[in-house]
Amino acid sequence: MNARTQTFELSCEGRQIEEVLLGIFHTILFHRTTGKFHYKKEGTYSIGTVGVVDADCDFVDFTYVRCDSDELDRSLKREVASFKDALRKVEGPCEGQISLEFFQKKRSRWPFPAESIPWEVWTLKLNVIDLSSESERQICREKVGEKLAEKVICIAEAMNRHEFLPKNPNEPDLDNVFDTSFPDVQPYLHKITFETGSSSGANVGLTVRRLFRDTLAI
Amino acid sequence: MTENLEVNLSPQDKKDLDKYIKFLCLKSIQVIVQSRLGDKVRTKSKPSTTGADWFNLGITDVPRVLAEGKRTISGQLPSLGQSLCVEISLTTSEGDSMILETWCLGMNDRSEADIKVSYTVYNRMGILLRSLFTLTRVTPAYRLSRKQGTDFVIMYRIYFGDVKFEGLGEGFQVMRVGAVPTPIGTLTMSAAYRTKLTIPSDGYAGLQMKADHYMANTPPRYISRNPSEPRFQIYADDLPADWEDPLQEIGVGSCSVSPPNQMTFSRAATQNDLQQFTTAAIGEQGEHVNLSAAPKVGAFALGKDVVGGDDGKVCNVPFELLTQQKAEPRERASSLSPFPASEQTGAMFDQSDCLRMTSYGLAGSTGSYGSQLSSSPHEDFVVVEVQKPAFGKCDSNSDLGTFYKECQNPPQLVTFADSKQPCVTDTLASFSQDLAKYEDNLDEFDDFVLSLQEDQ
Repeated sequence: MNARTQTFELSCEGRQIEEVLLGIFHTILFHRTTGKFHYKKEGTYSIGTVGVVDADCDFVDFTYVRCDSDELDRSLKREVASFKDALRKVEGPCEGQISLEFFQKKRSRWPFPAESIPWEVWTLKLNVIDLSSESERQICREKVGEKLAEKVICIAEAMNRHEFLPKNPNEPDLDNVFDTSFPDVQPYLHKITFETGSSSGANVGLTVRRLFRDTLAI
Repeated sequence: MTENLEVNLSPQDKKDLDKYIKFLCLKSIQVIVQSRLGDKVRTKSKPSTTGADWFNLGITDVPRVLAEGKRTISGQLPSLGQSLCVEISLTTSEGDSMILETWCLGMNDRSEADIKVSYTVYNRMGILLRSLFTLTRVTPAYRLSRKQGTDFVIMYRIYFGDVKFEGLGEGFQVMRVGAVPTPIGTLTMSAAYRTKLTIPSDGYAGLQMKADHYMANTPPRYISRNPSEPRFQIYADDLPADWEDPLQEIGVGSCSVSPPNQMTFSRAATQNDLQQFTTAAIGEQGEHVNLSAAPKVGAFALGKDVVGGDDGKVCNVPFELLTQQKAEPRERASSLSPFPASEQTGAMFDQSDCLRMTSYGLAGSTGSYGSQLSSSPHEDFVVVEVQKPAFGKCDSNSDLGTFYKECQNPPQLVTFADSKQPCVTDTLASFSQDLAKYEDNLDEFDDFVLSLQEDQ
């Protein structure tokens, strides 16, 4: 089975990395998280409630919605911080990509471990730029906010195509579809992977100029 | 996809589907309106299922919004040509208003007969609501609603009908939130939102004045400015049959579907207790009303001693009149009775503006500027003695007036006389072209700079 893939590309400042990633990944996870399942007799189950939290960004003009789950937030922040640290090890402008992959597990015969089958992958390519003046930063703050809004619209559009989602499992298979490690909510099984690399320094000036030119050409 | 297959639905499924759609409507209204209250939303996740939360989402019901939603729905559900709309508008403290966006839950005829109502449709409605949550945070109205306060407030209106795109100005955008196919048709949710957020300086109620508005025999009107009352209110029953909504030009009052007594604007302001206003304030037919903010007290206004100090006043007294030396007895100010509250029928005037005007000539002198209203504009002002202005001509009756007239009618600037001005987009496009051109010629410029340095 081929997993659906969706790729976004964004440029932002170093200090905006975390908020950009959290804004996008939390929006995706908000759509891909259910309340906790409680199985009853005869295969029936009831579902808990997913709380909703508005989160304002400090370095971007943007507010995103996330599930009310501190654990899920912490887990995502941990992954994103690792990616940010890897990016910022590189001096100057750099780029990298980070993926949020949803998968389900398929039981295998002993002694083989369960097989992970991805069914949806969201990839974000990030260009980290250096800005020298406060006015540039202000423009960047607004621009990145606008770009994030565009991405959220894309995410909602993709979510409402109602394409393949793993079936809600019976109780024994719950862990093969959902991540049941969170106490309050139940996202689909997912993992985050990333890779980084430096971008050529010659592009820096161009990026900044493009930023300005785009602004003026609105 | 087939035509309406309602007949194939079991009665239970039909009943369930109607219930789901009804609650989708009610919850959508809550999500939209709560996102425009100006505060951040936070609801708790509940791992255990003690109570039934619709669509397994934590959406608190604000009672006032719920009541308004139920009243609008009252048995009606989105159907072909009949969409549920939530209109979000902005009203400034001056009374100007514009529609910011309209969220629309509609139904089209593309049905899916085999879809499971009690599982698939319900879950997809949950996804749609999640998308609604995220998308309500990305339109321009969200940022505005977070900044609302004394300068402007965000209002909402719920109705069944079509979206009035014309009220959203030029360049509005339409955003698709999502769709849920059902056996009786596909539920669709979308938003149309304004992109130009500047209120034009003309064409609005409250800013227009008729030339004969201050006719001597017309009693001035004003609106009650008691802060404890809803800021603007008019009762549909009081309207004349041929009442025409001046705000319709900007779409605020455009409510062709709801009967007038259902036209309701509600302010999305405080968290739990939304203050609701019934329709925007309009005076009698054909008159324009200024819905200015809290009463302003001008430099020459009396304090508590003046009864009715909050009232509006006529301020179109010719300026030259103030310089006339035929001072009337000052006692007149206090002898006039205040305008009785029962006769207060309309709205008008910002007294601080006329006071600002008078203060040029009256600085340093004492005078009364009460709230007296009479049939003649000449009697509206209490004339005070004016000292001869410094460096003024001997004829002090006219020099100040002349000066004022000159200030009022300066010659037109040549710049503005030129009708062939480039528009903003052209100017911006030319910037981009110039920038690109300069970039191409970087070497040339560098050489030029170097040559200058060498010259030095």
